[in-house]
Amino acid sequence: MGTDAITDEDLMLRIGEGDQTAYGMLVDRHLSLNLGYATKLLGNVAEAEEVMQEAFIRVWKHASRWDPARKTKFTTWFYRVVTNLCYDVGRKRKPQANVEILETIESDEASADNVIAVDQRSRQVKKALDELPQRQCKAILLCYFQGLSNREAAEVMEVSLNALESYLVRGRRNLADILREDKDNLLKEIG
Amino acid sequence: MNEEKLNEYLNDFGKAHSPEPSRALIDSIMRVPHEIEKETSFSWNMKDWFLFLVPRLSGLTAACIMGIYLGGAGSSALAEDEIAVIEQEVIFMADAGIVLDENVETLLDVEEFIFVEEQAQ
Repeated sequence: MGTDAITDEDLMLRIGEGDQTAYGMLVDRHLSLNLGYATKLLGNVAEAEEVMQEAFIRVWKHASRWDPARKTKFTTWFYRVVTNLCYDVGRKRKPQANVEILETIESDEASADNVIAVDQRSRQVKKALDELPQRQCKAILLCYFQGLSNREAAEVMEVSLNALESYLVRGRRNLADILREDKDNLLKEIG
Repeated sequence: MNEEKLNEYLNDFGKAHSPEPSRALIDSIMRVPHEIEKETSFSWNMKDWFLFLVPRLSGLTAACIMGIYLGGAGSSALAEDEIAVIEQEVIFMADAGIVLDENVETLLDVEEFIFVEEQAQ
């Protein structure tokens, strides 16, 4: 049986029994994607790494209480853990610590101008996402960047499918409005 | 802003905010099982309960026995007598001054005594 055939929930049960190999497999599967999610929520890689460390400590500590009878998906539970930890970090964050730390964009062929443009656009999006209501922002991050289906995202956010779809539509519309305003303001400043 | 442009912006944001986990982060996360103790789950196993209860009940019993032993060590009547003696204590000094302790009852007793002595003179 390949390792892919073992579900995350099975791995959690094995971790509950102290299986460190299972823990390693779960880290392999979820670290990278969730680190990206935390980075997008926080806009800061260092804080996102701290969140991921804490999230996996919770996996290890709470695995023994994992109840398969509840039929909770590991990804749903884990996204909730990561989201809550990110919000905790956001609440504790000092105003001056809210500094954008963006990753260097790996593009050998891209010109310096292109890199700057991409960097500027991503900063604008981050700023716009911060201005969105929390639920709309979360819906966009989960569906657009994490690749979750609408149903899965609704489960993570503990809302109905209709509500999730509404958050997505309104979120995208608000995001477009904020970005357009930013662009207009920038053009006025230049003009 | 149209949908196409918005998607372009979102793609740029996605690329810029998708870091690869650093070696240090992976190492620290993989060290978690060695450093963090797991929470023990509730167990119905009799042996677990025996091991959980015996040391606690032994400690509680020892504390109770010690409390009963120390609580019954002296008679309360005797203790009151000792206090009464201390309250009545008066120290006579060489120059006929009387130094008392600060107990009010004792002070009143001595004032009455002085008054009687003055009347007799």
